[in-house]
Amino acid sequence: MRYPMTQGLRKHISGINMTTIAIIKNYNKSNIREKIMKQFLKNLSKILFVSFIAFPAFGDTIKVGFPVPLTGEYAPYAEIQGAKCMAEIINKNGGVNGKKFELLVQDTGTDTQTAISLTEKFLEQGVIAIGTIPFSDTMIPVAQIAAGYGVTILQAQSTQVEMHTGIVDNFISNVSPDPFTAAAAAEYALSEGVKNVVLLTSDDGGSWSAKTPLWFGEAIENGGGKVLSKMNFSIPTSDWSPQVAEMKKLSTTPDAVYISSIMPDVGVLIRQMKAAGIDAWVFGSDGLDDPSLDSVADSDKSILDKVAFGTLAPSQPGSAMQAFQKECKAMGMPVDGMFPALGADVIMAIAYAVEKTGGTDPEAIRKALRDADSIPVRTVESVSFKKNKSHAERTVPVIGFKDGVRVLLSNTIPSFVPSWK
Amino acid sequence: MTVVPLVLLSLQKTNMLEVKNLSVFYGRIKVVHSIDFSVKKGSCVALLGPNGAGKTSTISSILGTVSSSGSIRFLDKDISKMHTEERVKLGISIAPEGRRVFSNLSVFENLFIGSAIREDRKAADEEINAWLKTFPILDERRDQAAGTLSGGEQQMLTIARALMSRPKILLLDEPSLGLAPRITRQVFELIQDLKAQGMTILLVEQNATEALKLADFSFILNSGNVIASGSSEEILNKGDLMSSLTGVEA
Amino acid sequence: MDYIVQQTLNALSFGAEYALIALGLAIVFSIMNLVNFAHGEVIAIGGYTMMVMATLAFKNPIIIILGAVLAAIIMALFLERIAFRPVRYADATTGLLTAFGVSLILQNLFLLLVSPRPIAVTSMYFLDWPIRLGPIQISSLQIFETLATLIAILLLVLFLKKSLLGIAMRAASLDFEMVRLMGIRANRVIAAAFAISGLLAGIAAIFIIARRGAVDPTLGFNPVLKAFVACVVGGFGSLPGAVLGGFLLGALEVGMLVLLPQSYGGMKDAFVFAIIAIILVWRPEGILSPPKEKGDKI
Ligand SMILES: Nc1ncnc2c1ncn2[C@@H]1O[C@H](COP(=O)(O)OP(=O)(O)OP(=O)(O)O)[C@@H](O)[C@H]1O
Ligand SMILES: [Mg+2]
Repeated sequence: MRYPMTQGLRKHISGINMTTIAIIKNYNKSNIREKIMKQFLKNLSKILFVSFIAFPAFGDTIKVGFPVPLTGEYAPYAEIQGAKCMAEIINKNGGVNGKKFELLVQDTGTDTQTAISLTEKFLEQGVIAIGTIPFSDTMIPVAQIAAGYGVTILQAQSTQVEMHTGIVDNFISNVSPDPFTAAAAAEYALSEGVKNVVLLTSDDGGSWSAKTPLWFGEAIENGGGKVLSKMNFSIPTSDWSPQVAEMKKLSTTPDAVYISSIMPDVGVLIRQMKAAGIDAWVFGSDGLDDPSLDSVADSDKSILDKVAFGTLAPSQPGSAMQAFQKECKAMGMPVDGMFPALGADVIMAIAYAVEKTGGTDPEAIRKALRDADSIPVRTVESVSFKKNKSHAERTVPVIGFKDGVRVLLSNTIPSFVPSWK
Repeated sequence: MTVVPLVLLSLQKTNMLEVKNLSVFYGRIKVVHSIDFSVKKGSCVALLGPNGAGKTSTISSILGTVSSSGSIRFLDKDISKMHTEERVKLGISIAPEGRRVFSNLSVFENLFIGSAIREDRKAADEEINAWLKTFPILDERRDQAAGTLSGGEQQMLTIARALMSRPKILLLDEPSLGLAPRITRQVFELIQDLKAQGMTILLVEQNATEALKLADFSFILNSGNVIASGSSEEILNKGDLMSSLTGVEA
Repeated sequence: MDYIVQQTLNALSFGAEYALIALGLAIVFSIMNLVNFAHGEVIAIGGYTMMVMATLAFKNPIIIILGAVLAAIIMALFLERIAFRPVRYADATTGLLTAFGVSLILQNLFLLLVSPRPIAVTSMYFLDWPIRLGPIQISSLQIFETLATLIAILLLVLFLKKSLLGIAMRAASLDFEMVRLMGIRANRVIAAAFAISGLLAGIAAIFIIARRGAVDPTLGFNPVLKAFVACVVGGFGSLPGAVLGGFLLGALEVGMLVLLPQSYGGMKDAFVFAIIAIILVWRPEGILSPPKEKGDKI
């Protein structure tokens, strides 16, 4: 899960308030911070309130609640498009045991408090599972409220390690946490003969951008490689020339650079490294799994030859995900990118559990999910929550490029995963 | 041959500026209460009164920088609903209280911006030079920030700037404020010159002695009401009124 | 040594971008006391225009550049007309909140109407190629951007010194009412300020897109936050201050990135802000704070 600029932005915003106050203190003595926040919230709720119920209820339905970010900074991660499309596919085929899916979807923006209120509303309406803003500061309180109803937070795309430390029991992620994507990328890097690596870290994206590179480094060292240097960056960064100059200064030329950040930032890094004549791999996390990465190769197909990322589900041409996206597009329900597509898995997992338990009791659903050896889903063949309880056991794809086109480089459950709990 | 003076005479009789029933407001507070006055073409009218009487408020309402009610007619047009900029274009110009030169602009730029509404660029440029010649000290500081000028110099610049738009009426708000007596005399000499050249002037002053020397007609304002008006002689005859209002021995 | 020169050049080009954007903020603030946070979305409009033009198969880069700049100018004027004019005489806080609101609305419009994720726009890549000067490596883009910033500053100075409208804008930064009393229409002066800020935003958009190769809803918001800080340090409303602040911030950021040991790396922004705070303690109004009009007003 790419973990965007929350903290960076927050830092900036408090910076603004500090300096704003300095500027306008002459004009207004009232509490500006409060005013700005109030205005923010007012605007959010007024302008961005997008509320709809996806499917009309016909008698007995399978209700799933999605208090998710349809607008705001986290909107790219909403799983809603895939979830809706998958639900529609199942409903068209008669539903599960005659029961149809009913998705309750409402926008939270980036606001945890809104997510909590909507969760309460959806719980009262009888949802059996919930997906929300995929960050622990929202997922944890939402899970705590849902626990009272026996309802599970079933998150399509959350990779945050914080969620697996036992804070809440009713949380299940459809994907593997960040250490797995780092380990998978490292395994592939080692197989390509990578020895010396540079790690780019940033505190701005929490553990996703700060620790994932370190896990990569650990896995590389475990395989006999070496971490040459660690360098800092901010999210967002649109000019990497200082870091690139630092790489050039290293006495040993790196074989690979690892970064867990977002697009288009990493695209800029790739181009600037290439321009500086640094012939190293750029490895990354799911943050690179964005269609806009491919266009970095627009003017030079070879530029992505040594770019690869461990991600959540295979998305190269010919993958199950692409087939799903095609099917949805034909239905007039486009699903853009991996994060939305992962929503399909959640719906399929719930469908599996409803069928298995023959009902819609949320606790029974959770138990069925955790008991199953294998649950068929859409972006990979199957997942299982039996071993890890709070996250899926599934293969971690490493995706690279050939002639500017995505290829699946490897797709395994990594053998060495740095300890992270 | 006798036609021309006659026309001039008749023009002189018409009111260039005619204010009726004028009230001025700051928010809900009314500070000028339904006053009437007028300024004839070519004349100099003085608006006198103590601090806070409403002189500045009155003069500001003529240019529309404060909110007012009542009728303000200029050259037989009701201008009370017009934007400030349009009123300036009609030929009203002000040398405001406190001078308000653009302190970050050079002396030249201050004069230049004064001519903003003019289309005869060449003539305007010549006029700037003429002003600079008139006040050699300004010429010396032509490219220096106007904020560095002395109070008296700034006052000269303000008046010159106001005249650069070739106004038909010049509003002067306390041009002698805070100036040394010698400088004050220079300022009044300048005003006297302008008057001699036929400029119509509305002069706000606390220095009643000097103002009355210049004025053809005067009004005395107190607490937003006109409490007396008349020729300078008539005002001077009400000596006690003057001294009690302004503290200036007339 | 080479390394120091290299990083200094990098800092310079960081600063150039901040300065370019900060100027756009400062010129509006100087005459309207408005911190126009929506400036970022004006930049974004430039970017999205390039995206649209690319999908419409415009190939000529000059036309794309002109289109983007023009779109940014129109957007800036449009925002002034519909959003900022109604609050023109309100206090600074109202203006600030309006700008924040406009910024937020636009970001979410981009998100809803286009996409929440980055969309590739590679039509400006051609501006970017590596240049090697001995051991020093720079990109053509760094040169273009620094040059463009310098030229923009130069032209702006000429405009502000030589044209009536420019002089009026400088005058308006001190005493807007007095400018109106010169018969110069307030709307014209303000529109000119917004048009210039739009022009600067359009130019910034070109360089940002040339570097990032993609547009997304926060394309302009983040750089504007930086530019805002630059303005505060430099002295809000002062144009030389904006430029100075921009270059100073660029130097601070690159300096901190390079000098701080990696284990303190997460503190980079904290250090940058701490230094800025110290500067503000020394000069609460910013280093080159603009003069405030003294004296009586009507
Ligand atoms: N901006 C304002 N807001 C509220 N009240 C004001 C404002 N300006 C002036 N006043 C009030 O209006 C009244 C008239 O003020 P005005 O400035 O017109 O007086 P003045 O005759 O010009 O005085 P002075 O000789 O001191 O310049 C005063 O009571 C003053 O306090
Ligand atoms: Mg006064």
